[in-house]
Amino acid sequence: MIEPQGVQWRVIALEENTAFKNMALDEAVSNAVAQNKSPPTLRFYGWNPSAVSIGYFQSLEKEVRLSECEAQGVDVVRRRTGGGAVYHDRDGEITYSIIAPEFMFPKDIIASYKLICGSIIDAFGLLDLTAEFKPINDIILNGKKVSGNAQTRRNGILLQHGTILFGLDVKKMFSVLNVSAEKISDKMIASVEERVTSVKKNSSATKDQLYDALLKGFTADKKWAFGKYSEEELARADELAKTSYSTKEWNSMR
Amino acid sequence: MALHYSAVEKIKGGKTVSIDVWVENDLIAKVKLTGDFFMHPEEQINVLERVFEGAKVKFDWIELERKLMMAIQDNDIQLVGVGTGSILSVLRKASSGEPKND
Repeated sequence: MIEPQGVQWRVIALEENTAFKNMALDEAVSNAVAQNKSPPTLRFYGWNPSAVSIGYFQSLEKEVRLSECEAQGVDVVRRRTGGGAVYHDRDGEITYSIIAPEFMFPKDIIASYKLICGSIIDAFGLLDLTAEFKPINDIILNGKKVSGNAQTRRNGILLQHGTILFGLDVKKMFSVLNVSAEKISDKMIASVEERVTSVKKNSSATKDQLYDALLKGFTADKKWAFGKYSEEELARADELAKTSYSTKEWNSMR
Repeated sequence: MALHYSAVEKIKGGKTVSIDVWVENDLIAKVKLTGDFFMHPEEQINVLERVFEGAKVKFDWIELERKLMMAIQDNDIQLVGVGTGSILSVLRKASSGEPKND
């Protein structure tokens, strides 16, 4: 990573927001960094209530069981990034966003995924877990997916966000994602459990310890300090959450 | 009334590309590409979809691929996890199938 002299990263400590606010904060911070009003930023966050996020190009109705989400109080949001549908369990994962000028990263997209995912792999190392990057955008642990990541580049800014699975509730995941009823069989759950894993399944580390390791993994090569959002970012995020990310127009766009 | 065709393909490497095509009087009226692939800038997906509008159902595949590649080049579009070959192949699959009942 190219670190311009004197650049200090702002780290937003682990927080919880609604799905709409989380995605709005990513956009508001990206805008502020693009305008040189905010430094490169690393966020850690959770989803309250639990939520489903879908990739920019995905069809809402094809991917999500909307009535089930409504019944279970699970929010649904479309991301600005491509990639697949993700169930973000409130207790079962930690999400990060890295937002910085594009020139600080390799121009090649896969190389930049690999670089950023390297921080997560280092974090796993601190928990005595050996994870690997699997192109395009996954991290695997003992041969199974433990982290999915998605990136966009707009106005000279790279935004990459991703989730690290701490626990895994496959049954709940299947109940909100659009897979046919017969697929939510024990056989299908077993098959997903063969492909997806979590920190909990491989380590006795707590969620706090995972967060601590992620913080260390991401900041090891950076000059950084904990910081807060600016008033302007917060106001913009509230506006975006209300006028974009929580709207039918945005979420049903495709 | 437009006839609606659709198809899905799982690309080698794990990404999925899905296409919905509406055909009116043997011409493509509308195309919608969906899936878990990546493309930068994201909003330009509409440019790619419009490449197919007005094309004949019995496509000239070489001409369509040329148009698609030109649209990608002219708009600085970067496809990740999906290529023009996969998009055309799923379009071919959809157009050779039976229309759906909308």
